Amino acid sequence: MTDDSISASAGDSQASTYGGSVNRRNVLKALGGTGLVATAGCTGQLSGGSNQEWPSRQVEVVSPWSAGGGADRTSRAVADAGESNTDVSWNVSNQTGGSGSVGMSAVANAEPTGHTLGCTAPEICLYQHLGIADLGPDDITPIMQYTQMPAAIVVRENSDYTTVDEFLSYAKNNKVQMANSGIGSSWHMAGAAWAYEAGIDVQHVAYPGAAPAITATVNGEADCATVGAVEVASQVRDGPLTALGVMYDEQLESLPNTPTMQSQGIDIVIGSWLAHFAPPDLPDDVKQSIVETYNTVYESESFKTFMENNNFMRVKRGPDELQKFLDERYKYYGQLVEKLNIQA
Amino acid sequence: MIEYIIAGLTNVLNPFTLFLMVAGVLVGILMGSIPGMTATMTVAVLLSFTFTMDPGNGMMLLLGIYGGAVYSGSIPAILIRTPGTPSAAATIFDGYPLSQKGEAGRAIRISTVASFIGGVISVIGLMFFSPLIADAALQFRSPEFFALALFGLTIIASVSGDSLPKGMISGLLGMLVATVGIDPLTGFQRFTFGVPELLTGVQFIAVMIGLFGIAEGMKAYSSGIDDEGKKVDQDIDGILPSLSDLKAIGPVSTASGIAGVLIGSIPGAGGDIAAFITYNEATRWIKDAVPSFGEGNVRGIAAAESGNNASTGGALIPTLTLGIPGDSVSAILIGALMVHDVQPGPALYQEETTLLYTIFVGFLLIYVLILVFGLLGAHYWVRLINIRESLLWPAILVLCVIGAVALRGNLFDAWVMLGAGALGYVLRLRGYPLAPMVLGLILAPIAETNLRRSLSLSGGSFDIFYTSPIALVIILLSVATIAVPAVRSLSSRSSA
Repeated sequence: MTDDSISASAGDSQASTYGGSVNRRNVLKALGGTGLVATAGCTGQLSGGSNQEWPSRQVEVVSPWSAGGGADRTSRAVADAGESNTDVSWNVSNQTGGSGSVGMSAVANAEPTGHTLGCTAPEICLYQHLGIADLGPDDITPIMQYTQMPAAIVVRENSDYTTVDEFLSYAKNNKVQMANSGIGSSWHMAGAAWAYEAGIDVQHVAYPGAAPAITATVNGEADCATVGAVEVASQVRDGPLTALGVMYDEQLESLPNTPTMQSQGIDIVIGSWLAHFAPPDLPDDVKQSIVETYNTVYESESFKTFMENNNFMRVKRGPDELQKFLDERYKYYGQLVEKLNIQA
Repeated sequence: MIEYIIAGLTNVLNPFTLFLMVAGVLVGILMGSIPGMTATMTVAVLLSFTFTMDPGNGMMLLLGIYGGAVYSGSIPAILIRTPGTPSAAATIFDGYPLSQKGEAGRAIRISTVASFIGGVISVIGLMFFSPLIADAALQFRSPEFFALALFGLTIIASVSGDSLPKGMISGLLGMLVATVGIDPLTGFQRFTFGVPELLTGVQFIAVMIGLFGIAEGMKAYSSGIDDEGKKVDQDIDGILPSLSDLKAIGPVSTASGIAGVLIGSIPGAGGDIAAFITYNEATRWIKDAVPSFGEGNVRGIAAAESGNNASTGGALIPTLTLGIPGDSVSAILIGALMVHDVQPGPALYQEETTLLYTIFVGFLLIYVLILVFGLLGAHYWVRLINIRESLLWPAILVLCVIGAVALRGNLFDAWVMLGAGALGYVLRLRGYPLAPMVLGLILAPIAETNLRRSLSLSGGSFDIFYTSPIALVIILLSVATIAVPAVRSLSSRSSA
């Protein structure tokens, strides 16, 4: 019921803003998700005043993907910690659609007062290359990356190839079918980048999400899948999958028996990640206050506990570092899309 | 399995979850009792309340409505000869004659007990058989899923009511709408017209809210809302059905329950079809009926009511194991789960066992609640029929807009919902059924991606479909589903 309490608080604060009666507040509370909508619509109108102080009113964090997913859950954890470290309430809303571009664009076009923040992921470096939306790293003010999700190549447990070497020699003589969790997703890109680095030709097969991609790998429809390493850790440890390697520069604790790709001769570090950002043209002093709050949030016990209990790695990039990383990824994905000849 | 059941029970037995189940059952009974308000519409319109709940709690509310509405549709069928929901149409045959004899109370009690028996059988079937099916479905590859979706699409022939062509047109419209968005295999944008909201396609829940909420509302208003027409003044007394009645309906309820689960589990075939078939079978099997069927036999009511409620759990079998909806309500339930990032399908049985067993145990408890409320409250429920529709429709229309916007916080979806409502209204005026459109909308992407993925895996060769025995059998079944009614209508025409 954590989800509900956050959105209910959105309804509360809104009703009190307008001096609403108890009756009205209850109605808003009962409407739950609906309260979010109303709040989202109002943020723009309320921001007329001066913007030196941050935060001076409720902070809204937009998750561009649906409730229950990684972006949503981590954003709620950040908002919870943010609320305990500031005097205002923090509210997470889900504005989904357009592979995440709808929610991110909403934030990029919001008033730059720092009261509307958003969650983003590698997709923001892909939209322009894939023609999905005219939104890129230059259209946002990066605040902080707080997690990293390295990619792994998985195969079924009893397949003929359980190491990278075996897999590559199989792939030299056979057309390998590589499952991914959606065309143009960061996992599709990671798989393509890996195949390119390894010098093999693969056929990419898209599935609607990671679960069906894994099922197809286990039942033999696809030869392998590119997925988030931590997400499949339990299925690798005691389930039907074997991980060939992890595309990261450190050994993962959750997959102690799976070496990195680097240690197997393929120098690649790729996957997905999550970060928060603000609209462009954010005043420097506001940006400074937000970044300080985020530093406190990142180090807070509640956030640490959440990340640990939910198997999210804590990996941090501050604003400048994140900006550089985004620019570098933007170029990298541009080359990759060109090489892969993905149309969109 | 015991530990999963216990985990499910712990989830269900907390005050808020219990409250949601009771609320769902009561709302379901209320809406089901009012002719014109269907289970599908109620679930679609109230779906937005579950967005901020955890998925298990949300399902309890929706399943409560589902079970409650399918049960209470029988009340107006018995009292005023109008089914509250389409599933209760077969209950009229024996329910209304009993009511005319002044025995409406007895008929409602029979219907309550039979609904309970059918419902419980269906949930037990769901609990024990769906994991086996999911296990087998883990071996399903793209050709098998294509065949299943194709089979579901051909069921349009059976849900389309009077006119097969109209049903197919409605189904094709749904398939057309489903093509909007990013091509799932190549990433190409189809019919998006530069609108970012359309990249992930038309939100099918918004379309369903429009089709079942707005379109029905417009139809109700345009045909004139009559608050005075259907007064019920028959008093219902007593609570428990008589022992002799229970003995009479026991076997027929059980048999109809089992049949109802099987029929309900066929994609596309819902409670209305289940009830007609179980009623029909009861009249064929029971030769010694006194009074005879159609003149107020309690076993006739029991057969229909057990059959339609048994289809609810049955409908969840393909919904949860394969992601293919068993009927229009379970199509919305798929959407309810997907809002929470839970994708129905065989992988669900590996990753979300706690959620699944919460659903199973909760649905069982919901049928117990229906039995209790149905028996205790029968003399109140009959008054629900007198509720003025002019008070309900405005609330429903408002909830339609709220539900569409709350879907993902975007006003765009409200326009989609209204557009679908207008389209649905025009279709309804011309006698086009709407359920095939929903099937088309949900099954088209499954059929398309699996067909194209199969062909890309096979290098373009269609061998992949008939070299898989399972896919071949399902494809042949689909062909038969279309061919049999066509041949039958041809032969009846030539003999006439």
